[in-house]
Amino acid sequence: MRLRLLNKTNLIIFLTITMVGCKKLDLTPRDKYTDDNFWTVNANAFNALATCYSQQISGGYGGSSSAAQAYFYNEALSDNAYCPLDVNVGTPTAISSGDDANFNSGINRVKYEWASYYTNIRSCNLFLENIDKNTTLGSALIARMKGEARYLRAQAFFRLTNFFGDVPLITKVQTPDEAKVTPKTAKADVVTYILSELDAAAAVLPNRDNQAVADRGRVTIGAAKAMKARVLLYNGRWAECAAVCEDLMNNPSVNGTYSLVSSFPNIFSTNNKYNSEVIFSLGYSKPNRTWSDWSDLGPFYTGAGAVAASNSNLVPTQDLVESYLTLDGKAISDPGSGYDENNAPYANRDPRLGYTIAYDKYQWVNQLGNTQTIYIKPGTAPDAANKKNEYGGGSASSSGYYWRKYFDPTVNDGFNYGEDIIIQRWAEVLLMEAEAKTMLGQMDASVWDKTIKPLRTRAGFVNPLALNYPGNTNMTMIDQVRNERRSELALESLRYDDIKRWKIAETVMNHPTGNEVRGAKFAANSTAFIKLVVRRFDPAKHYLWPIPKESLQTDPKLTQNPGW
Amino acid sequence: MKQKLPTKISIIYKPRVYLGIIVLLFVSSLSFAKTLNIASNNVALTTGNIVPENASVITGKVTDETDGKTLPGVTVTVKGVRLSTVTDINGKFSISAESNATLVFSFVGYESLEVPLNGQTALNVSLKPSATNLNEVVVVGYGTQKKISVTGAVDKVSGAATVDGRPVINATQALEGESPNLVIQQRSWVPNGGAFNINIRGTGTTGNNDPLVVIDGVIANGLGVLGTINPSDIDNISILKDAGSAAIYGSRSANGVILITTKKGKIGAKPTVTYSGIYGTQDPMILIHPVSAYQNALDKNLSLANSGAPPQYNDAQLAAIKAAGDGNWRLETILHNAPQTNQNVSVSGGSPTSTYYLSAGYFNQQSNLEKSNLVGAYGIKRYNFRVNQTAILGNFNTAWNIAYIKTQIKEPVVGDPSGLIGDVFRAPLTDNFQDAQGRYTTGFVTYNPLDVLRNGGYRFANNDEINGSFNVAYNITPDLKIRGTFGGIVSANTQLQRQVDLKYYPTGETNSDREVQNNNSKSLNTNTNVVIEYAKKLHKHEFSVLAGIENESYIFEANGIQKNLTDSLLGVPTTGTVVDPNASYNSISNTNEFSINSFFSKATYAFDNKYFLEATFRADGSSKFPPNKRWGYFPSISGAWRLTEEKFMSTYKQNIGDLKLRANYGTLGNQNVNPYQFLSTYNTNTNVYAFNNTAIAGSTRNLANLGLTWEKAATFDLGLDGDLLGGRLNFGFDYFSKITSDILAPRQDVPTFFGSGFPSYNVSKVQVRGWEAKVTYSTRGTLRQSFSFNIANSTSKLLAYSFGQTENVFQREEFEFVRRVGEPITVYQGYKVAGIYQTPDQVNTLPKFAQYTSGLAPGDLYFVDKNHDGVIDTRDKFVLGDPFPHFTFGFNYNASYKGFDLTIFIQGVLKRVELIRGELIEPYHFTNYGGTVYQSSSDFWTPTNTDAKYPRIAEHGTVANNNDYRTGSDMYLFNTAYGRLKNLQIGYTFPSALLTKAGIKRARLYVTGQNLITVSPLKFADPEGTEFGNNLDNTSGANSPRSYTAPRFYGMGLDLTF
Repeated sequence: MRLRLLNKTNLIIFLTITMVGCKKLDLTPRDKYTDDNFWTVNANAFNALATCYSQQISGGYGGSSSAAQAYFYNEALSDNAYCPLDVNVGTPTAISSGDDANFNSGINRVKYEWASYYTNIRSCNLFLENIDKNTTLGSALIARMKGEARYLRAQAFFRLTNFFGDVPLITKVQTPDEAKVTPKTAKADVVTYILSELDAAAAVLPNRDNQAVADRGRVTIGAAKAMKARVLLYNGRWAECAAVCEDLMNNPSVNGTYSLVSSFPNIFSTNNKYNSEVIFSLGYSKPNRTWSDWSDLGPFYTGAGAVAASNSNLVPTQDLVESYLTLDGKAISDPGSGYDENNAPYANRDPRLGYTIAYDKYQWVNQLGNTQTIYIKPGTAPDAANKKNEYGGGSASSSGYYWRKYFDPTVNDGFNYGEDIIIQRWAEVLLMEAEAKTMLGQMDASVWDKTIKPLRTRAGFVNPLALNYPGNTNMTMIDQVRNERRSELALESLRYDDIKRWKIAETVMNHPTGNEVRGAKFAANSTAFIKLVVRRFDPAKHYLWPIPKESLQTDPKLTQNPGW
Repeated sequence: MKQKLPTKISIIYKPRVYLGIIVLLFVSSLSFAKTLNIASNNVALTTGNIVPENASVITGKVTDETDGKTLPGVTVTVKGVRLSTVTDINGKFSISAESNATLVFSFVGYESLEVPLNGQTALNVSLKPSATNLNEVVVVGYGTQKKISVTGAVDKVSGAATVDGRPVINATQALEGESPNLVIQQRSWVPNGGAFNINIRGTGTTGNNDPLVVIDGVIANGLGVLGTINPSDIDNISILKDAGSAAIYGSRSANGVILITTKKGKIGAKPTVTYSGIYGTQDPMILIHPVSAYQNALDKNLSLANSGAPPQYNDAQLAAIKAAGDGNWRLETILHNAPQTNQNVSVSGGSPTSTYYLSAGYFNQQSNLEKSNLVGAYGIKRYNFRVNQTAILGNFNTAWNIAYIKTQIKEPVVGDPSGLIGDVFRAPLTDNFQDAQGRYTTGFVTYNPLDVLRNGGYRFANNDEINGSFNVAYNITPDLKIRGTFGGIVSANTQLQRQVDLKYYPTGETNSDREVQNNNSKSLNTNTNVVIEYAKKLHKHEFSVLAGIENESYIFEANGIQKNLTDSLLGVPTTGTVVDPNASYNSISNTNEFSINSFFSKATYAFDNKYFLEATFRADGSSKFPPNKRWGYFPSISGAWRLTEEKFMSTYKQNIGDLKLRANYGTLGNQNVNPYQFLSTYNTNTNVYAFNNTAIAGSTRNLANLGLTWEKAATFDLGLDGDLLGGRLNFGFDYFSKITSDILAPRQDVPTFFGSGFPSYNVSKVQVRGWEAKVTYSTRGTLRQSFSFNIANSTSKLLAYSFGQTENVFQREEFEFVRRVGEPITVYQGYKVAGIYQTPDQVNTLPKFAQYTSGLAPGDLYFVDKNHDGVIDTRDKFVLGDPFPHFTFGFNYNASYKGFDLTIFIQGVLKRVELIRGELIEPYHFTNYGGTVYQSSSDFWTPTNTDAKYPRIAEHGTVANNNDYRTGSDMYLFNTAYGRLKNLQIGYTFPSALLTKAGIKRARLYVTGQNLITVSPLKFADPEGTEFGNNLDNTSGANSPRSYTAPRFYGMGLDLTF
């Protein structure tokens, strides 16, 4: 029957078309590159390298990638600062408590600190292993980019060794199975690796003078060498350290020309980025890449249009305030320093005290250009608005001090700061030279005049006794140099490393009950120092952080650090 | 009465045209999904039909043999001819048939009757109620099946029973309590369509537990259609629960399947117009009441005194507070009674060869929240339109179902509104929302919820959806059929959100950015299948074989733009307006698509209506998985035995009733995972760093799981169905066990110095076991009564978690949500309170936390020292409970007497616990966050109230507060079992004699109420509330029930049939 035949024919056609029409199942994402096509695109190569830069300090705080927060709050691991709010900022107070319940191999801070540097290292390894797939950037550019990645990878290992001592030295992109059987490498070997990598980077990187304007902020030969000096300094290799510092000081044509900026506060201003003093910094830019921690650091301002918030979550300690010399170059404990603890404790002091810290009756020039007195001593504020800074009030500083360093007077839209955060600057090179030479027993007027004197001159000292070798204090020379480093570099995230490598942490940190970390003398009707917190630094274990528990449990080849 | 019949159209003899149309639709569906270029489909089908050459019209009436009542809805077919009709509301029918034809009358619950016409043109017949519903048909995967032959666990829910007279907001709410182990939890009562958890047979996976929803044969992606379909359009719903019933849906079936069938017209039925409307009021049931302002101040001073701090209020201030009385900063000020209405009109009917059902619905549920001055009342409106048409065209059966839905939702823009409600909860009654000058004030809280509701802006969602299907079935031979279905769901959703800057007195500001945001998304979900079916009956042997192919494709695209600092009155751009680059996005980065190709088959064999065997097999290939892991295979086998058909059971059958035993085993799948996890992809993140003072982007690599594949659920079911008392009492019982393997879980077996996160791996394993029972009973006669009761339980057990890892403990606030092998998939963990210290001696001697060496006093809690080591530490934690509902039940009672009728529907949970925290329990929660004590939390320990429920109060940060309130203990554990009178209806149907003059066939007036009574040990919050989604994700937020209250509805309704 004809009808039947038609049906069958149609059925076959029908089924055939259906089979053919089955949808292809190889869908790929529309908005993402895959391994197949990522590296051949030039923009991606730059993006991958940018990620390596962005992860340099990624906080060590779960869910947060704020490098700025990590940079600043680490100061509270040292005797320079105190952090009343501990959660969400890396628990510095819990760690400095030294209490096993709060500082152990299981806490998030330890776990994330460790993991975040290895995230950075993996990004660098991924970049270095794959960048050669790109055929259009050109070998010279690729060589330079590799130099940047090698610097960043070396820097991450350096930070790891400072926290953890011996660490796994991972120089390739691992598989999960490889990771599970990776041993630790002795710190000395890691340091050797770091130094050779920094040398290799220095060999291919431009210096700051011949770097293209668009590349400002990228690693230079100067940065690689300055980092090398820091690695040597931290490892007590004084002569080598001094040699690198002197190379930087004496060969600007090779290493780039650096000099101290004439005004200390200007070092940190947005409008003075990439200035002659900056060697390497974390890159920020308004309005899209900003940091906003200032609301936790500075005082409350008043006046129409002024920004009102201050949470005082990181505050300077009395110890830091007391460390600044008098204008005569004397420590306040030196005989004849003229220090008047009760009436004018902040007068006649190293001007860097006022450039770094805001104290009671501080004359603050706010972002509107208005000068405001910061009233901190209880009961002194003239009105309700000013009272917010007074010690004892809701969100006022718990130590009686606020920070001034890193304040950006050009910002008037909240706390979105575009200032770069400095990792290395010329002043540190001069201080490393001074410290290395002192440790070598070679500190003399000629070294002094190239290092301490220009720093003190720039700071605003005029008294020749303070300016000239050998200074004007009862301190030993090495203590004077170390104190100079503290005064110059406070709040620049170096102090915790310094007190550990000088092995003075148990001396400067330990504050048993009854002798807590101090704030200003505003307690008990301003007759006693504020007592802030008990800290315990156990030299038997706290010089190294514990290896995180999760890594010990998943990698049987790892061993725990002593004491943990 | 001579019916006007359409003329014959020659097209019906050209099957090629029809097959061509099917093919065209199929192919165009495929191109649709990929390109979104909707091809012009000028498919125009002309109706036509065939009737016997020498037919005459037969008319008559069908009645019940036992009581003589007329039977509407009886199917009348002409034997051997593809013609049928259905009796109307008065039991009357009319059908064209040859004079020597035989008419077959069939109706659910009655025995079929065959009547030879022998030349009669008018006949009245009466049907005998059947002991067994031999002919009752249920909808199953890719077809229908006689209920007696069903071998799997299928529950049929009638649309009318769940929807009629009930003010339901959508189909999901209507289904709650209707079927055992269909566990539905309404997580939010905000009138925005609702947020529901739906679990069929418990939590079978730690992944997505959403069941598959199929509407008129079209697989929907996600549960969305349950929220948009007009509940009144639903004819019936089949719940497929086990492998025997669901495996034919393969990779989509592991969580069960909900099959929705919408209403159709009836062949040969005259047009019937029905109207149903409900109007009523929702009363916000406020369960939480703060203590008076004065008492609150006294308690605050007590809390400070307990903390060693000076009082906040001196005697003069206390006196002033007492004199001033209570302010209005309370929930009653922002929640009001609000109207809700459901209105539906439908027309249905049919010619001898076609049917139609047209309906329009309007649903409007206003929010209880204070109205907005900008957009009026908050709430949801939904407009539903539907056209369902069928036509028999020669050997073709065709059906079109098309529905259009518009949903409009208005919500406050800030605060969810749980944030807003929390802000109301937090402040003490000393506060008022407005001062004497009418200014919106801030006091304890720095926002003003009343101002936000009235003037703070709005979020307006305006969503359109078209869903529909086109089906053609063609009989190649009487036994061999081919069917094609093409259908889909198109959604276009838009949302406008605007924030208006508010300035409070004396301080405070909200929405200073004045954001205006538009979000748009559209999705297309297409589903095409072709099925060949062969069925043959040889004597007592019945065979059928079904085979089909199918494609399901889904694509979703979204874009959005946000402008900030807009004009403060109009929201338009003005000086200073900026586009927010982070909140604006294009569809390139917001696309989600997948496609599944499938082959499926099913074979059945039945002998003598006694033994039944069934096997299904499905193969699915999904784009979500890598090519070598793409295809999944899902077999099942099942059988049933009607014991009472055996000779040796004949006495039992006669005296007691029917019994049927069912069993099946099979593998189901779950492909609900995020796509592309098998590819190593790179994310581009903007503004990660800056060079030369210019922000730049960065790229990070996402590690791939090259082995990504399906979850597989091996499922066993054993069921027993039966009836007693001559068929008036039906019961069903099922036991089931399901083990789901290859569940995705994160891995943590690699040291973190690996330096990268991981995708999920198919490593977890979950077992769920349970049972369900259902009983229905009905009586006939003047007083007709029926009741049905269902109860069910399921318990999950985690069998494996991840590589080398047997537990995952998630700390949320004070609580620990734990996934641990051997326990239900998520359990609460914490300390157990042993008591409250009454004496200093107890404080000194009883075990306590090591860190609280001083500061504890009588009135503080002490905890159970589980390991008896004299100190409380982490080793003393207990598993405190399973937050999933257990022993869920539903009870439905209907009675009618003369014109009156009564419906009672109760739903509930007999066993569940929940951890609840926050300001509703802790007085002065975190000191700065909460400023109140509630009546429900005021039973705290004092030297004069030593037999208290809660410990003494003290300020945040004190040892007492840390020990009592910051410790996750069973003080926070509440029994959330409940029973809820979900619906009560009392109706009256007017006598038809009264109505016929007005041309009305039927009229019923009724009063109805929803959520009228809730009985629960938990008094201050909705016991149905939960912090978890349907997989009890243990990273969920802890529950501080700052939620919109569960409203009580009462109103009245009218049903009319013309």
